[in-house]
Amino acid sequence: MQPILETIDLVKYYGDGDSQIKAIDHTSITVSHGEFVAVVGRSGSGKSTLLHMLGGLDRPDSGQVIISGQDLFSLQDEQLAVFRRRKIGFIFQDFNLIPALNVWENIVLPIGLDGKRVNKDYVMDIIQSIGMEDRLKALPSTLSGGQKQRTAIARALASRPAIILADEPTGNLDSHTEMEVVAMLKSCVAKYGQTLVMITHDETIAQMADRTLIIEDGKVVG
Amino acid sequence: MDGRGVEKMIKTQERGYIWLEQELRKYLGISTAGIAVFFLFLLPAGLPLSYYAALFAVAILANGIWCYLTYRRKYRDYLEISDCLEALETGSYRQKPEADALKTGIRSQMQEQMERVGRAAEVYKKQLEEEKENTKAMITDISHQLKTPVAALGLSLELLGDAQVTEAEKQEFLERGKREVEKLNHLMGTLVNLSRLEADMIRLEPRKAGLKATLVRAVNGIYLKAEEKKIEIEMKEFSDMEIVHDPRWTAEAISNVLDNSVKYSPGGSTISIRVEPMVSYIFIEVEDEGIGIEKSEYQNIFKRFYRGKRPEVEGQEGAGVGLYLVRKIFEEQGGNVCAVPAHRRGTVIRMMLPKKYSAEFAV
Repeated sequence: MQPILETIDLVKYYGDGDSQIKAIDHTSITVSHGEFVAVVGRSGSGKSTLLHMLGGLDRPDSGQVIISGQDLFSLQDEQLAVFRRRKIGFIFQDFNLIPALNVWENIVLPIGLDGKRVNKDYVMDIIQSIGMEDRLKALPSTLSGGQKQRTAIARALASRPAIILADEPTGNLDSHTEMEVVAMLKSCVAKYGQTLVMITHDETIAQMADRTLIIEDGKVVG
Repeated sequence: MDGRGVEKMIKTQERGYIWLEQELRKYLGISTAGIAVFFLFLLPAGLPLSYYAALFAVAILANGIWCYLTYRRKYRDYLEISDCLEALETGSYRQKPEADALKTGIRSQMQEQMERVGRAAEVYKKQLEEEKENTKAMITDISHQLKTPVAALGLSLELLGDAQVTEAEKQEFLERGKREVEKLNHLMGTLVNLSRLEADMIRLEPRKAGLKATLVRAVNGIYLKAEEKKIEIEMKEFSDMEIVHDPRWTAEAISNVLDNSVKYSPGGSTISIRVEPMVSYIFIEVEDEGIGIEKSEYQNIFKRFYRGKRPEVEGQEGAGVGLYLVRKIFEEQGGNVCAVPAHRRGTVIRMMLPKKYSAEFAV
């Protein structure tokens, strides 16, 4: 079966000559449908850069990123934006919720932006799975870190993307909440048949994944 | 029926969407009638006759063309969807390039949904294949595990039958043989549990039950072994709660964790059990003061048949099945298990059970 995400010889360098930084140095990875892959690396290993390229947020110097058979960077900027909106779900470390919208509105925003009808039953099911059904009208400023991240998770799941990319999703949470959020993320992703690539610097969290890729100096080892 | 009648019948059925044609005729009829009525009311306006007739004809024609073109577009769309669905049904579906799906509109949305259905079908197929491979691998693993103790037992018995062996040596081989049989027994018990769980022969039956009772059950299973090594098991006080779980298998799982803790802890140390309710899960933590686990090994210890490489681990008996079983039991109840670093030395195994049980979690 075709992998849902594939990178071929990805390269991203910054600067040139002696001061050149090889952020991503000839990296090729594959992720199959339904997998939970953790990408572990220390600060500066290139993991965030990798994730940004996987999500089409940053263009590589050379190499390809192929999601669901589509070469991301062969698309025009506008097409890429549409593709990203439909096919990729993001979960960031600092939640990125819209402060003026309440929990429900934040969750269904990407669906609405795409002009699609919101399947209320499906979205409510997700909300119940993450345990936020009694705070739907709350504004992000009244939520705890864990609750904000759950909302972000629901938002990423609701539009049923082909792949979810999470960049240190538990970085701003305390260690107990961290574990909870990752366990919840893992079971939701499995329940809804999604694929998840998660960046983390913490091996304790990475152990929940099906597969761990270690990234060091822009290269994936192991 | 005569030849021409049959031919006509075949021809009409070939066109396929007869009801679309009927719709076309209906719309054409209604819209033409509407235009006619409109022009009827226009009569008293006193337009020159030729101008009036021309306008009427153009209106009718334009309407006719418009209806027909709409019909044609719908027909093509339906045909495409039907072809796709048929391909899915017969299993000949192939993923098509996504370029069209980047547009908006009903057509591209339908296409996208069909892509998803196609992918879901492929996923099921892949899951079935994986399950088959999994079973094959397990059979190989199990027979491999059994070979060693059986060989050792065979050797002991062979040596027993050797006439040149002294009485004292015979006793030793007898003892060795007995130990191997014990090992085999223990191994078989674990393997039977494992294979039954994998083959879905054991159905976890979660029901609302008190957590304290389950924990007590788990501790009872390991109490004697702990006593032998003078290891103290301390359960931190907590208010009992009723949560949905399978008491028997959850106790078994926690027992497995405690078994590991006792195995790899020095005599005289303490094993503490803590229960902490969080937002969506109940955390059950077992902390020991033993040899600990390297962070880099956290991923591996839950793999089936994995045994640590350290000499302390290799010296102990075990099939590497324990933690794998534990994770499986908790995952099937919608929870999970992980290892977290301890404050000083030792290991903390954190088990999580969901507060709200959902039947779909049993994957």
